[in-house]
Amino acid sequence: MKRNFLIFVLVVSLAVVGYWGVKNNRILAQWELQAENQYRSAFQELNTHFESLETEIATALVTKSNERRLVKLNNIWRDAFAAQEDLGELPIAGVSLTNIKSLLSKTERYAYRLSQENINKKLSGKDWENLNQLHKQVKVAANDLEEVHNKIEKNNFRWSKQRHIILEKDNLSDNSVLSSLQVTERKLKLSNLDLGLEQESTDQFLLQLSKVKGQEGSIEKDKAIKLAKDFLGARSKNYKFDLYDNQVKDSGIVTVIANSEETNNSQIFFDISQKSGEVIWFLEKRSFKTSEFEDDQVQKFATDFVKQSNYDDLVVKEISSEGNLGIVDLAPKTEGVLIYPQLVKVKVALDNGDIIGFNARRFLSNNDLEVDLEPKLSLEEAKQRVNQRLDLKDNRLAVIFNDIGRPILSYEFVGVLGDEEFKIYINADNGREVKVIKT
Amino acid sequence: MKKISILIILVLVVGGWFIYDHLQPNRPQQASNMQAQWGPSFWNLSPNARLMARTISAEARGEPYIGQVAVGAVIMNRVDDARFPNTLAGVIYQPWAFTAVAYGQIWNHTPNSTTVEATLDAMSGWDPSYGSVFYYNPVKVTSNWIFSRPTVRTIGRHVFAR
Repeated sequence: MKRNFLIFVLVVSLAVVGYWGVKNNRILAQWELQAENQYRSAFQELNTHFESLETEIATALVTKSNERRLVKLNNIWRDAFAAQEDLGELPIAGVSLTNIKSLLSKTERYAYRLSQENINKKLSGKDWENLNQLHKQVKVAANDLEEVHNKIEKNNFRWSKQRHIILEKDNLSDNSVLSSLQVTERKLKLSNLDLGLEQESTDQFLLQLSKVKGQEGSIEKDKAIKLAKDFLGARSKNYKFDLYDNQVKDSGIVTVIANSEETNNSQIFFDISQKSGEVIWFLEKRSFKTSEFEDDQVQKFATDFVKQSNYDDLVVKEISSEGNLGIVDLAPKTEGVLIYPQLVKVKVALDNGDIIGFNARRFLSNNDLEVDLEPKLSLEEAKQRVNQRLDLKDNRLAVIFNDIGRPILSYEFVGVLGDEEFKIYINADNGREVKVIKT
Repeated sequence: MKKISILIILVLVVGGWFIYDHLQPNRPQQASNMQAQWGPSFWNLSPNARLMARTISAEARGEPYIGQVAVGAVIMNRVDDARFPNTLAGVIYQPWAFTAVAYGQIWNHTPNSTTVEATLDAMSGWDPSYGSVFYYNPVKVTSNWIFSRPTVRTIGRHVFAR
């Protein structure tokens, strides 16, 4: 009797657990299918955008009218952008398919540049040839991707079975979907494309850091500690300075760390250029007390600090605050012109006004901009180029980066429409509107 | 005998409940009172910054402060890099790119004020990683391909690489 009861209980619990398992398995399968559908949708979209990209470039090459070509160029960068987004939705690692990604990015930026610079102008012979080269590569990729798509359907390849595909790592069997992708990747030849585009932003800094002008030779690492102390000013007596254990490799950067037990175990990191002895940035982490200061005082703390650090002629561009942090953006003023690409950031603690962060990275890396600071247009002439509906409050000369990353001398106008404020930048050489920003 | 069967049922019920409870990845989070009172607050951030703060928090809790800033900087560098998606959400939600996102740790707790500050610093342009787009913990690496990337520096337990 008791034994039968036990068997009954066990059978029932087994049935319950079995039911639970089957049910969960079904749910899991549904979600896996859902994920698979999303991946396939992304790949299909990638195909569509590549195909459309190919036709758009091909037609841009043969169209004669400037207006048509402008539309085509806009379509090109839109398709290239969309294809990049599609790639980002597939479970493929960042290091894989770099040629395909780079081709898309180059096409996008090149088409955008042409659409910005060549309004109402014919395509030059070199530009046509560049587009032609891009078209050849895009065509190779578009055709191959369609083949891959066929293979995905025929082999019933499942993206959802994959985790973070790294094509370089895996031993790919021949003729599989992933190996075909790899073949396409290797087929693309981007080395002979000389599009004259601005460099990618990554990798730029270490490169430029080596160019930072400064004293002959380089400073000793021990001297870096003294530089850090001097930079922090009077406050440095509360801190113990040391070289950080893990330095940046082969870069000419020395990292100094400062600890303080008196001020709540706060910790400061300094990165110092070994070549010029300049502090590139520093950051302090510490706890806060109640906030004491207003914007104008914060501004004064920041300007006093940069003056003391031998950054003369910096003008406050913007102040923002979050909790007990104030961040002040300053730009250098040369010959009456503000150089926005050389922005310096200063972080102020609002409880006692200490400077707890400083960043001169953009100041140092953009110190070789080649811009003529003499405007060809007068202020009055430039003003006429601004939309008359705006109520203009202020103006000054500034160098800014335009949409394609070139430094441009321009008149900055601050104007109000309704209750919204705008900044308008007019090219000081040719009067074109470079940028409109809503502040 | 009856006692044993009751015990079995009890174990099954309790065990089932336990497993069920732990299978719920998104347990609701409570507004944290633990946040430092005067630091920048998580809920004042923009949605994009909050997503980044969550990622930094889940990926680099317990790392030195600049290690957290550097993880944020890697995300910013990826947004600018042609090899990665063009938006912050695109980069963070890229399938299997961040383990903390893939396994849901980013939703398990609210980032503290240190992480929020690191997020703000990374978004304002502090980059202790100097343009890195990868980082890894050498102890936990599962495949060796990552070692082929040129390393920039080590901060705490993370190696940053380009």
